[in-house]
Amino acid sequence: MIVMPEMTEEQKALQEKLSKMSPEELREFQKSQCIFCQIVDGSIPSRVVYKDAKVVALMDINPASEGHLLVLPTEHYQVMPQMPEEDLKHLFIVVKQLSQMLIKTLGVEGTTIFAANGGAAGQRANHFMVHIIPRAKDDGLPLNMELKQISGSQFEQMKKQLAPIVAQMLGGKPEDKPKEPEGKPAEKEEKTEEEVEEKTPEQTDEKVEEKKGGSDLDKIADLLK
Amino acid sequence: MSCPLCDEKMKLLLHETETISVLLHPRPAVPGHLLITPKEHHPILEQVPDNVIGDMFSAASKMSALLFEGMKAQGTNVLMQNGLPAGQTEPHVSLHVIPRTQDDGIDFTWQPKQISDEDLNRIENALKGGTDSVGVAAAPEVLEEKTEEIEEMEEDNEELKHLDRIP
Repeated sequence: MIVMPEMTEEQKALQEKLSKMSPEELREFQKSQCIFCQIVDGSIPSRVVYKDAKVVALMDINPASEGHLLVLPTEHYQVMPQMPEEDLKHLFIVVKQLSQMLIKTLGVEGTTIFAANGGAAGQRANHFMVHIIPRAKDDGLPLNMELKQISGSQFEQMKKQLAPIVAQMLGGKPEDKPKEPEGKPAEKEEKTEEEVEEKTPEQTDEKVEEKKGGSDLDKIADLLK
Repeated sequence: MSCPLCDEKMKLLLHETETISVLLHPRPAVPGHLLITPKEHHPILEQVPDNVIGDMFSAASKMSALLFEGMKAQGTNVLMQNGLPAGQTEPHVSLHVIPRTQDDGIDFTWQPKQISDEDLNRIENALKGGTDSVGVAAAPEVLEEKTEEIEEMEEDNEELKHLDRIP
């Protein structure tokens, strides 16, 4: 991982000035301050192994293992859902091919593909990126998940809550959708269930798109350190 | 050959498109842990067609937005364990989307490995030599061995047995 430098007094003063900027000005400013944008345009030297119009792949100089690559969009996006869908698809097809290349070239037996959105998820840099980490048996990297047992009723409750909003987000055909609750929720329904109800099935994909780029995402991005 | 993610899909399924399935993880790292899988059975990443890869990660991005907004997550991890040494536990390619909050007890932070400039140069040259196939259609040869390994693992893999025991 690349560690961002600590904030100086000058930067703190600058931050106050930033609070008065328009969102557009702020975006431009963030871009000008992003070390990964400067890596993309070549003003900071790096070990680039692949580059096209939309994607750059470079070696992580603080790697988790030998051959650890960072794959980033050439455009500045803070988190994954801000990326245009076509660019995102292209980036991950390149990730797949790079993973395959690492396996062939380095003779490793596996890779972890890892991305963090937001400071709470461990994101440190301000520019969205995907890690491809070559893995070896018993390499001790803390990338495996500790899984927990949950009760059947917890599982069913979560499933019931998520299924309608997942279906709505992915815009499937009505017949593909799991059955959605009709009318008012029964008394025993949890509060979270009502929140789900607020998003009606009539809400269009367009609205979802709009929301994706909206303030909630900026809040997530703001959690970055 | 049986695959728990194919056999038990209907119990876990939140939504399906033409190419992908979104599943609720029965043994989550945290509540709301999702799995995005190709609808077709593919044991390893390299076998998944490019358009399906695109659809899987596009869905992961949308699920991240959903978890931020609908589930009050403060972040998400999007993670794929590709191969047994990486901790792949199902014989079916799975992309994890994990909602995160501060202090949720999950920590994926790794310690940087010290690698000499000489070694970095060596690796860089090797990798640059290997990227000719990147960005164009890459052929999935030489990976048959890995596929077989993954296919065999269900016989004795503890995790898979757990996955069979779906609530």
